[in-house]
Amino acid sequence: MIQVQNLSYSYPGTEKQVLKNISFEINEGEVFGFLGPSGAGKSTTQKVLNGLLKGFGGTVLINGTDLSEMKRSFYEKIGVAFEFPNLYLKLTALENLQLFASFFKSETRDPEELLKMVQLEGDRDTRVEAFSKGMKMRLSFIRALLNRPELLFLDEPTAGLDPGNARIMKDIILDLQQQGVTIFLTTHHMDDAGELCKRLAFMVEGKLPVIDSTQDLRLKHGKKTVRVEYKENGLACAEEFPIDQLASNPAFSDILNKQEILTIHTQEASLEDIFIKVTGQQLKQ
Amino acid sequence: MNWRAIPYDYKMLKGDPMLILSLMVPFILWALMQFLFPFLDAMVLDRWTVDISPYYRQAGTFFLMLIPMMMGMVYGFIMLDERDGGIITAISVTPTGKSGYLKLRMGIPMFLSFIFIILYQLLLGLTGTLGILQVIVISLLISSQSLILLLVLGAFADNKVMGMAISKGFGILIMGPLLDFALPSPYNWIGAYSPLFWASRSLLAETHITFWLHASITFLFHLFLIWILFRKFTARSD
Repeated sequence: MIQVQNLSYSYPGTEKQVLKNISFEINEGEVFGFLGPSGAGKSTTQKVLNGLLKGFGGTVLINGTDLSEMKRSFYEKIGVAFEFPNLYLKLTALENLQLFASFFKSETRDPEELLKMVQLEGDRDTRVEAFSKGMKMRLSFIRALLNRPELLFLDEPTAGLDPGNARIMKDIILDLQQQGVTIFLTTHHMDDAGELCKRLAFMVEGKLPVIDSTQDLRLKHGKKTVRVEYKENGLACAEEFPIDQLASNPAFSDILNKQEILTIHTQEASLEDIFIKVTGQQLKQ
Repeated sequence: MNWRAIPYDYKMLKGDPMLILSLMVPFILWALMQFLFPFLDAMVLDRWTVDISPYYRQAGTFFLMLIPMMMGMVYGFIMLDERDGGIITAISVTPTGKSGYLKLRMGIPMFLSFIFIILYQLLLGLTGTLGILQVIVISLLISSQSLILLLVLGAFADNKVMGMAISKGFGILIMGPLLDFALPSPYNWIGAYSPLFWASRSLLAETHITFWLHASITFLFHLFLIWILFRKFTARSD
């Protein structure tokens, strides 16, 4: 769906390259994530790809068409939710959606149905200036879904949300992926990235040192062991066993048969561990 | 033009003190000309035996120029408000885009200016020997002045604070017709840098030829400025 070759970008009037010859692909129907600390260039990449920033170097193809030759109708099937909610504060939630629906030629979704999805139906007639940041984030998110986008750009979609509302948003994202929507999201939350993204790219100082599937990253960088926590004579104990030949490992079988098992976990590395290991940088900046 | 967006525009602006002020300015200017000018005329004649009544049309034309300027400034600031809130960015990633948004934003001050200018001229009897077509043409041209101010703010101001600084420079535009009225020939031509200079000359033209000549220059001058500023605005990354 998206092919990016040697993309570079510097903001006008500055020498510093924010994006340094990055290349990646996003396949149709996948959730692809950029994971990296603040200021790494994640949002800039999204802004280039959704056409907000011009004057970039390299090639960006979307559905085989060069981004620089894209017509305005390109936006009929694009959805963008920004990191900071940008809404008409003097309009109600419903009016915000209705007004933005008027900017599309194609048929748009029922705003009330969208409000219901993020539990804002009770606030449909409230002016947005009275909304909390979390409510604005949710409204801004569903606004991006008005035109039934085939390609969705999400910039830090769970930023500023409480765990309950973050869960709602993540469920919607997973549901959209099931429906075949291609999603490009940026985040610095490793849990979100791990849960939502099929493939990930680590971004550090405008470069992409790692692009891989989330599963493979965990397997490659994790220990191939199983950790068993159990109780023996009333005391909590733990042991690790190699995954290879685990079924025929007598010590493992012995614990399973004789002890009270508390937990059993494979020892995949967390994305944060992998990020630090690969990039040498902390994720939470 | 996205007509469906207009009712929401009204909802957003309802109760906005800036809008109320902008709608009152033409009435204040009309009241100044209708009541203050005759009073001043009588007072000056009585005290200094100077008759200022021949300058009635010039004074009226000068005030008339303030109507589109005020409309352009008010809607320019509304636009800067939207820029501060990231609204323009959000519209940029819809099929309407920044240019579609701008057309909508330009339409309202242009329309309001046109209505107010026509009413102002008719109520104060400023049209002189101009025919209906000429009144409509010159009113449209003067209304388009609002677009220049709106676009200057949109193209050069990053936020409202910058907008305030830039709007202080707008006085230089209104100096154009003032210099034309105040200075003797050929020094009055110093004011020709301002498109208002040409617009006011059309309005005060004594003959059809001079009217159309000055109106044509005003048209080309405005077209050039609007084109440059529109491009500058749409090229911005927000």
